[in-house]
Amino acid sequence: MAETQPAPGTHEHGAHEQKAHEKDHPAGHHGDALPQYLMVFLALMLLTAITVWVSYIKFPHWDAGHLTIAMIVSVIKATLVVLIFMHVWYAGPLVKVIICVSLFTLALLLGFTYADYWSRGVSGVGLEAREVRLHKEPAQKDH
Amino acid sequence: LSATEQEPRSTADHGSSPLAHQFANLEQQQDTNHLGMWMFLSTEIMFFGGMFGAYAVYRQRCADGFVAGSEMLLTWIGALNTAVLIASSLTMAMAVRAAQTGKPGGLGVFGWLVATIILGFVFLGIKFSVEWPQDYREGLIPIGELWHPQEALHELLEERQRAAGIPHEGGHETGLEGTVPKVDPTLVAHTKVFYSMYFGMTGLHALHMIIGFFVLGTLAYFAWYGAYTPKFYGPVEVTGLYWHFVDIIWIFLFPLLYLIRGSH
Repeated sequence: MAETQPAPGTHEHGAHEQKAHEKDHPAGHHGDALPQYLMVFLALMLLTAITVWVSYIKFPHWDAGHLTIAMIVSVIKATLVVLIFMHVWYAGPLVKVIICVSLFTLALLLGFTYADYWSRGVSGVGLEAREVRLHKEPAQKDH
Repeated sequence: LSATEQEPRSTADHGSSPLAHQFANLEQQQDTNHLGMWMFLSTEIMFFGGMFGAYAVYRQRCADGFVAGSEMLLTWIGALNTAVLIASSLTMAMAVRAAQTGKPGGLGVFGWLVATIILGFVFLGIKFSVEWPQDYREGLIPIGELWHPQEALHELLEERQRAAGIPHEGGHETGLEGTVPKVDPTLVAHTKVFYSMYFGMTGLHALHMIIGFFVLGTLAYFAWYGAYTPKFYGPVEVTGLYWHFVDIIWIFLFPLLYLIRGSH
């Protein structure tokens, strides 16, 4: 199945294509992305181990401790996958713009939804959450 | 008949070329495929984003149930599956690299694709054969009669008390043979919300993987006949983008579902 490989430089589009590939992959055609991939793989494994380890630590004075650390680690892991495995580090501006716009749209969606829940206190989130819980208490006792 | 002639993208105009007729050249075709996949992934970000938004709201509302539900999941299975999926991302990246460079050695495009499929099977195999049956036995499937988490919750609460050094207090009144232990119904309801989110989100993720198997299988079939070369590897590359995206979703799901810990 490997018999169809052309020698580098025999491409129909010659220099143009060669240049495009260099943009895609700095190591060029001969692809020595391998060490980089292995490093990313090891980093992802290590970060996974760190998240699991952190979940066993107790943070008596920091309620959001587990969530905060886990999310920071996950964002680092996702960024590594996007930049290296998905080649975005070497991609043109169009792809980067698409990613930024979709993340921005997502942030708008989640941010405003959450702000709405928080400010109205519907669903027990935020301002009125305490009152909602207090209100519920008597109902829980009669069983 | 050379291998590339079996390429399905061939058109009448170009004979054995993988270039579809609407493109000027392979590079333009590749860029277009690439852009199309990123547009698709941006819709996927919004799709999963909605679920993460629902998760955030309900996690606040039902905090006790989320902590209890998460503590009842098997952390080691989630961690193992995370490792398996990260490994499958590596093999996918290797498949793309093998197609791009066209160099022999390693497993080759076909081999790396098959390795990716196998690792994906391991991931779903662990879910279907270990994790979900365990949830079923403990009554943690939030559908009708399958939902009876009281015993598992009771056990969890007792374990917490033991860990905190609090002597066993008055559980005996409800501990009669053959009866369901008494657990605060609000906690039961909140735990049900957690398990609904858990099955919804991991189920949707699993569905993406199953779709991925069909695509990877098709690629592996063509790769066996040598369809992917440094000149034409677009399908492998865009499928790689999809597979890595599915991996990223899991990277967030794992701590959000398996690693919630309370302050007790």
